[in-house]
Amino acid sequence: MPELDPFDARLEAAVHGFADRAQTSVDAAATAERAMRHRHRGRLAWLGVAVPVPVSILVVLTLLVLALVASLGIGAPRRGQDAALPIVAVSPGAASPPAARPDLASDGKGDEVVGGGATLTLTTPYTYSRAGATTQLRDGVITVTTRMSDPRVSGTGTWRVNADLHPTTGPGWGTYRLENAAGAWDGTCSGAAWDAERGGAWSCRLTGSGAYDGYSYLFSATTSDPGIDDVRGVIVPGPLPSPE
Amino acid sequence: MRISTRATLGLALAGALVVACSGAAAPRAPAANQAAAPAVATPAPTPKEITPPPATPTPTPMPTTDGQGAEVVRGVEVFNGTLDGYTITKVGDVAQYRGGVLSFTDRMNDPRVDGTVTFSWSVDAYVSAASEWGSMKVENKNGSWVGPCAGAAWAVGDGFAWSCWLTGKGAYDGYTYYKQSLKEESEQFVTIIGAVYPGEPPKER
Repeated sequence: MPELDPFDARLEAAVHGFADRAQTSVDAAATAERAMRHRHRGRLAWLGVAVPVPVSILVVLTLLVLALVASLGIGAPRRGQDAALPIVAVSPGAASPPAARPDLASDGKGDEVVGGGATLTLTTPYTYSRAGATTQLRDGVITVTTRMSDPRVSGTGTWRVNADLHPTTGPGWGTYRLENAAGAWDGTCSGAAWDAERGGAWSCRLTGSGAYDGYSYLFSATTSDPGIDDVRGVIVPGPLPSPE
Repeated sequence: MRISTRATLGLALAGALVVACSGAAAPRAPAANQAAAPAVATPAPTPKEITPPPATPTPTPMPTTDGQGAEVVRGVEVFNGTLDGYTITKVGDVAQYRGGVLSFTDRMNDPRVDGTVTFSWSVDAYVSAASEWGSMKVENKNGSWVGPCAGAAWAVGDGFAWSCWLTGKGAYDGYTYYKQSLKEESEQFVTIIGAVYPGEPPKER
């Protein structure tokens, strides 16, 4: 169509003129790569992996979940050993108790003075909770192995322990059962526990059963080393005396 | 004259041992009228029978506390007081000591539990061992501690181990003092170890 020739000629000239002014140093491949890198490692990526939501949202959600878990844990009784709050000096791998005192030889009959040692092993962790400045420890179980000068009070004990620590020193109490092949002793123990020396002092009043029926066993125990107590006491006939 | 705890408790249980031994030496099958006989109170031995005591023990120095809040406390008992009269009653094989009052001084590493002590005690003494109980008051210028004690004694009173749950009064109101005393017959000292803390004694003890 000859009537369009002048228009085509002008258009061609205009296109060439525009093209001659355009920036020709742009590397399209490099630009595309930069764009893709930005997408993969920008705020929608996590360690180089693309994720469908912004990372900041994930971080906030994670912190919220952690805060929720922590809030559920705080204030609820917990069971476990808190190294900062030992209720008694217990030995995780208790050795044999110290040898019974040879100077207290016993015939194992009648009233008798007894002495010896005990090892303590925490076999059931206690629960602990806070009440103001007091740490309440409850329902721990300590297995006690005693080696005494009188066979009637040598054996294995089960001490169910509670304590209130202010913050690391305070009273302890609980029931205690000591048994061996011939019989058992049941009663209560109470005393004090402290952290600084990982120790404590206790006194127990027990009533005999089985071969020990009709007898009472009273003793005091003091921590000599963590997990080891020195024990002194007596076996006497009759019921436990009632303190005035 | 200063009289040691060792001497006084030795006195207390020496009588018991004599009575117990005499009972042990006697025929085991008592006559019917003996079994039915009421217990007879025996006057306490006179002070002349007290053995001269050893020198007053000098406590080993120990770190003092700040006297506030919960503390582990340690110290010794020093007998420099009195032993008031008591009765001894023989019931079967046991010699029952009643009405004894002992006073002494506690030298402690915490000023709150340092002071003079009055111990009203009772003892049931058998052949070689005895049970012991009573009530104790520890007092000083700022307040006092009062409560029950119980424990064991042996070696005619030369050895004993007792413990007390004491409730604070005066400046110590609201606090409890657990006191455990031990005296080995071979040792000169009566050692004390325990704790002071805010709160009540445990109900289960």
